[in-house]
Amino acid sequence: MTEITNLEITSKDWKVDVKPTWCPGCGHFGVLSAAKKGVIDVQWLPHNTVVVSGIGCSSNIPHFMGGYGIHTLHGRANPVAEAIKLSNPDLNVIVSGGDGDGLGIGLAGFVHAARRNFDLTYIVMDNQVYGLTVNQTSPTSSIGRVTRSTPYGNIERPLNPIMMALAAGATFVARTLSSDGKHFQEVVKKAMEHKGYSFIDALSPCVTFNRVNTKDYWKERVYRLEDTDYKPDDFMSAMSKAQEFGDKVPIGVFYQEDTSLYSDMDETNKRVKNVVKNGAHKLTAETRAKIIKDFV
Amino acid sequence: MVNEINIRISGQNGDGIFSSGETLAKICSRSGLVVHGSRSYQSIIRGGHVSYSVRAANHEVRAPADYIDVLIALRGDSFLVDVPLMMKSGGIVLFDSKGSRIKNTDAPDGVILVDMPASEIASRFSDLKIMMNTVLVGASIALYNLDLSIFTDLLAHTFVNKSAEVISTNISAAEAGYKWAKENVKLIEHDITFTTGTETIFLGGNEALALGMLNSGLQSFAYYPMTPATPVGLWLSKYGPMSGCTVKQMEDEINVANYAVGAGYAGARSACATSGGGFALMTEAIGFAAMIEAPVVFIEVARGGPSTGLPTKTEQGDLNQLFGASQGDFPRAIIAQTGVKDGFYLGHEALNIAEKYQIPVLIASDLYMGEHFETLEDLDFDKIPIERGKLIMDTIPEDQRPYKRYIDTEDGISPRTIPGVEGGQHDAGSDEHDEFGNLVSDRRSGYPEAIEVRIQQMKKRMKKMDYLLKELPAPQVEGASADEAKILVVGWGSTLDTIREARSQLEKEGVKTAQLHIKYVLPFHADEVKEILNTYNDKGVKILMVEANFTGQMARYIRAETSFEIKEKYLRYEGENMLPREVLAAMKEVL
Ligand SMILES: Cc1ncc(C[n+]2csc(CCOP(=O)(O)OP(=O)(O)O)c2C)c(N)n1
Ligand code: SF4
Repeated sequence: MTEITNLEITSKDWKVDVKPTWCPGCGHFGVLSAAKKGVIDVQWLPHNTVVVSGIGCSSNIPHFMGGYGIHTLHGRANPVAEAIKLSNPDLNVIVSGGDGDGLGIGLAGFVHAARRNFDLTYIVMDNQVYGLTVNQTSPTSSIGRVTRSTPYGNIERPLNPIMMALAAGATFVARTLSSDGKHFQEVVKKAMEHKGYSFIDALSPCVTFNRVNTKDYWKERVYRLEDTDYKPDDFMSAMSKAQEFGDKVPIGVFYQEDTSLYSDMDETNKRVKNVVKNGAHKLTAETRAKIIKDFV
Repeated sequence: MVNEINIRISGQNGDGIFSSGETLAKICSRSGLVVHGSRSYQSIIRGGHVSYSVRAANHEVRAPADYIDVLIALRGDSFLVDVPLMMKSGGIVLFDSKGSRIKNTDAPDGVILVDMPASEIASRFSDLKIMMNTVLVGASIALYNLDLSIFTDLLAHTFVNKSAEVISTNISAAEAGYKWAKENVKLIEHDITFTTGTETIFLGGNEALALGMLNSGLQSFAYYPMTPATPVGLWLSKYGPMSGCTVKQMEDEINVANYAVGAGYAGARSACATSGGGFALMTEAIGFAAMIEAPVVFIEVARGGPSTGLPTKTEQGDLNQLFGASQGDFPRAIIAQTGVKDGFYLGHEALNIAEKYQIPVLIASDLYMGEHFETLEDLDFDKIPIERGKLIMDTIPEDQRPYKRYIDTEDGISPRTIPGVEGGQHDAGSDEHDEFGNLVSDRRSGYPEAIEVRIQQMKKRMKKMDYLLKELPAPQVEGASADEAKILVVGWGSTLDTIREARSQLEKEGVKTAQLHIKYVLPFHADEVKEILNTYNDKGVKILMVEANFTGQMARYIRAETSFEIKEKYLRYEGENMLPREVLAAMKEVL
């Protein structure tokens, strides 16, 4: 890693007055702190960065991050982010939200944003429970989990976010742990630097409603892919690695691939580069004539 | 002696009916006529019975024709559908009993049946079945003595990318059909004058909206295919990239709407389009747009409901859905498209209103409106300038930071920064928020300060409706005054010209009529509408509501807004295009 000296953008630039409203000890604090370090590591200007979120405890993150923030509807962060990125590709766009938000109600948006390879960094703050609505099962809750919506235990197989992201065609797929600040910072930096759709499954315990998948629970199980000889350049190995989710849970980058970005291939952007900066214009006389010719 | 051309071509899906119909329409347009083209079809890809009707004249023809004078019948079903419903004595049916294997040719008295060896003529030039259409179109224009060279020029234009042989066989087939008709059929007597050299754009209601928006600086459009709104997206997919507009087909309408909000928030002039079912999915995002004050135009082209309903039939049945879209009270504009040309200007107007007021603008259209075609004479591309309202692109001074994106103002509209503008950072919150965009829905909720913020922000947003209402033109009565009129017809949206034509037919019979047509549905000029209705009612003028839905949704709305109940209603919900003669009959019924 190259050492960056003379940082232009510092935490001062990203300072905000709004204090997080999460429960003390909530895993989401770790996500926030790593993301704030990440934007400084990659030197993103706050006014050129948009943090897009859905709805949930996790989705409150834009208010605490700084930069431009848009706190959308439940499950809708991805399509909103796609529009922002395609309209103004010069912006840095972070997408964030809970596992319920992104893998439940917002699943379609996530899958399609990923397969289109928009240049977005999507952090799913995965606590395996619905926090804001006060303890129901989520798409990633493990079998047998007792929540208020599953008083007799969860009987649905959990969705595997890493496999899901890989299958959808995300070009950067990683997992990290909110309590491992250093690892998170490294992963989020790589994700932000990646040109394409980056997906991070951020294990981020809910201290209030999930007494099973706690910080200690993960500490005992995770190991870093970087410490092994695993190489994140092969799709099939990534798929099989993704299935490891039990006594041992790998964290780190599962997969990374360089391929064309949606916004680079889009016909309009090829012609005008950035529609917001290009501005709103009347048809030119030439285009007008061309259109009229087709309809007489 | 007739003063209009009225030709319909009908057959099965896959017979090339629409392209032949469009060719006919363009021949008329290139002959200097005002043209109206409309289609009828079903929700299948092959088979079924479809038609394309062309109405053309020297005078304004802006509604579907009451009757057809020439029917090109490509299938036996033409004699079951088009002949009995749309033809009367003197009308001509061109068909090929042998080539099309048509046995039953029942027709009303006086209808002239012309059994033409079209298939055999076509086979002289090509094995392709479609060549028969060319022969028949040639024959039909001969009946009106239209200039054959206009047709052959059009064929050359249409097949410009094909081989010279394709062009020449088509031209030969057209000539042969034309010649046959001239020699074998008594031509139609008319007093229509044809002029050549005119180039008038011929567009559908959907495409006119698209063209209007594109000429008004549209920068982002999203859609998910749904009849009858799809043509807006298809048209823009082709032409958008030529004028700085990205076009995105999304995975569903929920995400279409949210995408459109994201684009509006990012500073792109943004719109999306759908029909009833898709609109139902979009609704949550409409309130979201209003809440974060992002400008977006939502186009709703209604088809027959409920549920997936009548996918290829028309209805004005979604008005209640537009009123009720999304939870809570928020500012929104609802504007009904009243014509094809109106659509072109409405495309400009809707985007301007959305950006000036930072609100969602809903355009109410329907299948008839979106999918019929008209020649648009004298389109003025410079008439409506692009207005972006209080959009701030310059760096925000230090003393205004952190930026109050939702600052309370006189008119409720706050200066809007977009991502990329230095110092303009804020959070656009879909939860209730303060002037900075910070939430008052969580920790602060219930505290006196949060209650004040809630009241301030609700009032701020809703104030925009008052200012918008002042800007919108109030509806005015067309036609006779309350002293003279015998009947006042009230309508909205797509029926404008059909009602106009029905009225003019009644006027010809010596009955004075008037018409009140609603275009700006929300905010609503309740006082003006009430005044008009009371004035006519007080003078004993009969008042008739005409709309294409079962419950009289607009009549109910008018009653709610003005306390005036329109008792007489002509309500249509079977899905077919409303014809002037049908409105005329309804008018006569109440007189
Ligand atoms: C359309 C819609 N449905 C339901 C809700 C209620 N809701 C708010 S947050 C939430 C789930 C939150 O869970 P998750 O996304 O996992 O985030 P967490 O709170 O656990 O961080 C739900 C169901 C909503 N706001 N909107
Ligand atoms: S409920 Fe859970 S997820 Fe929500 S803030 Fe509290 S600890 Fe965090």
